[in-house]
Amino acid sequence: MNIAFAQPWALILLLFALLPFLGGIFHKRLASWNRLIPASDVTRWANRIIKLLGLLAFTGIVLGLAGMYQSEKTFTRTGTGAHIVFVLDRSASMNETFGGKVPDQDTPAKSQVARRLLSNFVDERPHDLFGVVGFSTQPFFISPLTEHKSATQAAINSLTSPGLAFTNVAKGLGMGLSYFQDQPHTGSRVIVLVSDGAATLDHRAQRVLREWFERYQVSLYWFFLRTENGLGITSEPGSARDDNPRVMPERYLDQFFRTLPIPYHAYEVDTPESLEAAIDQLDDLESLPLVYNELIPRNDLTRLCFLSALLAVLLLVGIKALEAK
Amino acid sequence: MKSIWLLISSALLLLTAVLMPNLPFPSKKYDYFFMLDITRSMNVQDYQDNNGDPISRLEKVKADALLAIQKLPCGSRVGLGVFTERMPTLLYTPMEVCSDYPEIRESIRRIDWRMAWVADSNIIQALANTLELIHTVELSNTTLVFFTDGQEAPPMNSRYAPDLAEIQFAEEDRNPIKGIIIGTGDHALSRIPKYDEEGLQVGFYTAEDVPQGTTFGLPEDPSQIEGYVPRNAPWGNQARAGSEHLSNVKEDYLKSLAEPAKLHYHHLQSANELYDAITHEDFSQRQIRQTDLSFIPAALALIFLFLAYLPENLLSFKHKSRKIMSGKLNS
Repeated sequence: MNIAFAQPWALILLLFALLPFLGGIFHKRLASWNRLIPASDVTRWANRIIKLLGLLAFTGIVLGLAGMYQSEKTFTRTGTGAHIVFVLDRSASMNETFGGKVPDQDTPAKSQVARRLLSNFVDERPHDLFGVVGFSTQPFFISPLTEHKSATQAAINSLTSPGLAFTNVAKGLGMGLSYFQDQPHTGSRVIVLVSDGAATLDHRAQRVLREWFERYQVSLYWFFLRTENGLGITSEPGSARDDNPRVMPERYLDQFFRTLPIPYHAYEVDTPESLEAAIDQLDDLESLPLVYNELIPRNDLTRLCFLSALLAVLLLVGIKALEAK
Repeated sequence: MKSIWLLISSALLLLTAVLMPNLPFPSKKYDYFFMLDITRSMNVQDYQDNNGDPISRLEKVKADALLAIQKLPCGSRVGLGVFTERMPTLLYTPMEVCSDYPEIRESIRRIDWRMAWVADSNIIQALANTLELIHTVELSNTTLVFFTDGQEAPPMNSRYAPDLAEIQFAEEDRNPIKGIIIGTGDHALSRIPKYDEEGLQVGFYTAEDVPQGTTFGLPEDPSQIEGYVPRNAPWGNQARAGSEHLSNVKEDYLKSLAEPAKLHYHHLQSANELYDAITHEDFSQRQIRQTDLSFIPAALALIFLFLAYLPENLLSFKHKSRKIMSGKLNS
């Protein structure tokens, strides 16, 4: 029981609760001689009860006025779920449709499709923690790993804003991995890379990413939003001359990810439907036992206080009605 | 004063307090879109924290913006974006400041100048693009809070500046954006720190590091330019001296941006003044909140109960004892 008050200053009014002990609700009557009406045990108890009722009435009202509530609690529970970090490509090409055209009414941009589907996905996974990272030439922190779905939805909405510059996958993944630095290891840990392009990774970036993926044991999903007729993950080089990371960065990034000592799934997505299918598969795969915190929201006790005061006052009214006139 | 009616009234009032539903009650709220300048001039350390240590403009903006957010009434919302060069971007659409405060705090703390994807600083273009962006992402009823020091780097040619009044008022089917420009920085010129790729400071920008004047487009008045040759040297043949490698808050410039766009202007000094500036009457929105007003009958019930207990014996104690001593009976 964590009891707290919204307006603790009102507790000063508790001094009123002393009133029942200073006086009573009855008229003082003069008796010719006090010894003529000796106090019996019953009278003493009745007196005490009446005083206690008064105390209860005052205390109830004052505690209610002070806004008594039971503060929010978190319960640790076990369920299935994951810690998921979305690493979102915010490069300029995300503004185009899957057909590589300027979006119109019927064919939304890749970023819009991704936003809608990710947003649905977040809604369907109640116990997961989500974090969001954006990246273009530089990574940027958007929202931390959190169970607040409203915050995650607001962060995913960043995909509505036009894309920026280039695609620097390494830095985006680096920031995504950094989210797991101080997290307890429970449930699945997932990075979902949503991008429509790739970039070459230098040796230093490769080494750091390999080390971090291994240390934090994060599995990787790559949703590659392929533009129609563009190069994809599985494209074969036309000639040996084209078989290099400059010409085919997607192929080489995929090959690098395959060498990582973690579960890795790549989905080449070229229609909104295939993106949906890929997200469904992620939904099925990532359900390890997860220790999560369930938040019990604060419980307002104001009405309860007033109710107890009401009962006390009603009893007092009854007693007062019995008073000899 | 010992009437039973006092107790009965008290009971009735308490009954009202218990049964009363939450009533719709108008209150104020604010919806903001905070846009932060993360260009390099924001690294100038010309503010001080509580200990008197120098902090950068960006750190000051982050700290004071958070303090101001803490004071906002629940139901208010804050969205966040950053800009560099002339390009703003949205980090998130507005979140509610009470329930999502931990996320807002963390995301503001993590804003860093190294998020900048390009290096120039073109304030007026960024402002114009921010106004457009707000329409694109459908946040046009939020209040723009635009934090910047007004340092154009490289200096711009005012002939090619966008017309903010046109962006705001030309299209009739959309409402102009309400907002405020927050000028950051000291009035005195300071040196701009220079960092390497790892974020370590490697000195300050010097006069040779930065262009001291614009060389973009055509000059307004060629007769003013020494060594003007229309084709080969439209900006003259003289090296120009200047103080573009130093930075202060360009208040006059920022006010001249705010004026045609009908935005407010405020110079950032303290979190409290910032709060007052952004909670100006023009920016507040009325919201109808279900408000618990049961404290009103309860407080009245307390007063009646107090009167019921008001000890006549306490007030008239001497009086009574005198009466008893005098031995008179009183009906």
